[in-house]
Amino acid sequence: MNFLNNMSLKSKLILPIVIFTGIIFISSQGYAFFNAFETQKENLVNRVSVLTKGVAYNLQAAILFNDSLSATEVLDAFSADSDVIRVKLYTANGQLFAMYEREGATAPVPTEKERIEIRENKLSIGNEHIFLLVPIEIEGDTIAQLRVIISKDSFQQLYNSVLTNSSIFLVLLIVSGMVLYKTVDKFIVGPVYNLNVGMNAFINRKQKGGNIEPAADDEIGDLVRAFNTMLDRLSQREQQVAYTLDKLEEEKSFANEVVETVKHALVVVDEKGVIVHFNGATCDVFRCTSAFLKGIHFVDLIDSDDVDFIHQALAQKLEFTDRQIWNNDVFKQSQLLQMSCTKLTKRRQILFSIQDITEVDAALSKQRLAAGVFENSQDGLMVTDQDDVITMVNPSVTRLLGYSQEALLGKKPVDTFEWQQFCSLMPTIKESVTQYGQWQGEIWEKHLFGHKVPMFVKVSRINSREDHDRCDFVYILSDLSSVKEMERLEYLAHHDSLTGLANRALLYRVLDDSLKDEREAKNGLALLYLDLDGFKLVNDTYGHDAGDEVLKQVAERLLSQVRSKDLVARLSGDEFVVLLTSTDKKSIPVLADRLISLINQDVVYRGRVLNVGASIGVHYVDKRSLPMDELIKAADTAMYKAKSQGKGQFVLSESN
Amino acid sequence: MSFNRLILLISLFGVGFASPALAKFTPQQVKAVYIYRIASFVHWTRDAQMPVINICVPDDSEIREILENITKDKEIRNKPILVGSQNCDVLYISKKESLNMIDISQKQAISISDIHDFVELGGVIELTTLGGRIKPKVNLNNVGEFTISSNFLRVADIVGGDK
Repeated sequence: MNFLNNMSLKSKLILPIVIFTGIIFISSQGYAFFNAFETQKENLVNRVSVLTKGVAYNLQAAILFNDSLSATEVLDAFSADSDVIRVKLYTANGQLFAMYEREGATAPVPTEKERIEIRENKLSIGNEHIFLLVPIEIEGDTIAQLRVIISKDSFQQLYNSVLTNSSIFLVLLIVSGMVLYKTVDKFIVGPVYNLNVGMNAFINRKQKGGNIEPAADDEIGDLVRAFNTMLDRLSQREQQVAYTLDKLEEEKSFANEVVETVKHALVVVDEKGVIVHFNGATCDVFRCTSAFLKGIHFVDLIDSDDVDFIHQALAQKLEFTDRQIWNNDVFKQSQLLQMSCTKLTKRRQILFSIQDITEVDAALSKQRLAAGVFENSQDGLMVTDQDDVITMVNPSVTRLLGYSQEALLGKKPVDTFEWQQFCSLMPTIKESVTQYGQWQGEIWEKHLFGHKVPMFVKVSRINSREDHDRCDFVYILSDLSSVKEMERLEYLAHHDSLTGLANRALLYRVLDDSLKDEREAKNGLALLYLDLDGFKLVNDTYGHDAGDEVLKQVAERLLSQVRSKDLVARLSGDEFVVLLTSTDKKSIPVLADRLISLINQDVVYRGRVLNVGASIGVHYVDKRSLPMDELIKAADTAMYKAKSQGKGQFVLSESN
Repeated sequence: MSFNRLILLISLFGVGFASPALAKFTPQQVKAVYIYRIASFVHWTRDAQMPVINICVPDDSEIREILENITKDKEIRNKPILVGSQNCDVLYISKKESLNMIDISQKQAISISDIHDFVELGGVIELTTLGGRIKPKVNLNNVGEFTISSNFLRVADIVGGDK
């Protein structure tokens, strides 16, 4: 029956109809024909038999009395039946006794088989004839036999009628079959075919939302409507699915992008610790290829003493967060990894999230250090943004200027500080910083408590990394209070308080330095020892104030005649020393004369004219091998010699 | 004459007495068989009341003896056949002297004889010999309380009656 499965529905419906109709047709017609044939045959045989028996009865006497003439007459009775062709009367001993033969008919000779049949059954039906053997009996004794040959011509009529009947029946069958076929085609096959086409179209996506028109209001119509409803629902479902898929795809691509973009290495391992999935960052963090990562054990990636917690996490499914571990990567370089471990809901897998924080850590250390430096710096550090708003200050600023951090942060320096000097310098500072990147200088600023604080201020510009238009300004405020004090004490220690000239101590130090200065070794060095003439008189006559004024005037006149690298010192009372660190011998008398004449000029003090003179002893050395003490002593000696020669003179001594 | 031969004679009826096969039968034997056969073509009026069919052959012992042999255990229409001299249903006479037997048997018995012109003498059936063949002759006027089958009459020469 498999072939039936592959047939179309039409064939399946039509084939049984054809087969069963055919079977019914053939069997009914066959049965009818057989019946008719049998009836015809029986009738014919019976008819002829009855006739023959009648004839046989009438023949009894003729046979008994051996009257073949009468027998022939009796046999003529067969002429009543047109189907009887020939009758032969044989006596018991096989002698032909009489015969009837129909005019114009030729009787056949029975075949051997027919003979046997005739002998056994007294009847044989041939193709065109029937052979009948009728015994003639009297009181149970067979006295003769009638051999009758009957024509089957009447059967032809039977055949014809059967054929006609069959033809009519066949035509009726075909017509009713056609009607049945058309009915089935219209009400079943057609709609089913349409439904099938519709379904196939739907399956092959040819049809887009097209529904099938239900043919009738029957079960197939219901089926079509159900199919249409199904299509509608499927369409709705499809839209939902498409929407969901789109969303899912979006989320998936987002998740994929996140997973692939994130700098963290994401590694999924199974319960045995074998790597199942990993993202692109994993290769970067562990500095290996993705081929290397596939299928290896996660612990094999970690080269560290402290891997127990990973084993523990794998074995006991313990989660941990931000665990830091020093690892050696494949190039044996140390890296600091920060790991987190999370259990996944799926198939007992574990997600490790690893970040290489070596650089971050270094940066953090650096930042901590910078913060430490910022916080602990002895200098005041202040950062303002582009709009001059203070963003950072360190404790030293508070210590330096007295303002608390809270008082400064978020405000402009102009609003907070008095900015006495700063305010005036600000345009200069801004310009310098803009052009050269920095500015530096000394500034006095007022402390919160009112006193002024000297500061060395350095201003630098720091460009923002992201935005080149924006920049911050860093102010480094160094406290100069102590430096100034030192300078004052130093000055006091080395200078004459009245004239501001160097004192003996400073002279000795500078002279010592000069004598050791090899750069000036080839030049000559001269020490002028100068003593005022007539100073005691002025002092005694006009008072100490006048004397002090004379000393100040002399000091200024001396300073006006020397170079900056030369030194003018006041040793005591009216004794001055001029140290020429680099000179030659012939220029000394000129200088000495000029000094004498200069000092001789009048000093006007409170409307009075005061006069002093000067005696100068000069010691000149070519080579600076002379000890300092001897040099001073030689100059002193020369001065006394000049004084003893009559004041207002100079004496030049020399040593080699 | 053996009984078997008589049976053969009966079974080979219709061959005709002229045929060489039957030539060996005596005229008596043939006549005896004819008598027996003719009886089967006769229907008596009181047929239903007849328990047996009596065949009387008063004047020919030879034929009587043959008849007795051939009719032994034979029946006609389920009636056994007796060869006797009482209540005759079939009367065969072979001598003119026995003609009076016809009257004695009244109308009940069908009379048969080979006496020339027997049917003219009041007999019903005369067995004439014509060309070596026995041909019965029937005088329907002499038929009594019985009928003779037309089947038989067809092969017989008919005299008398309405014919």
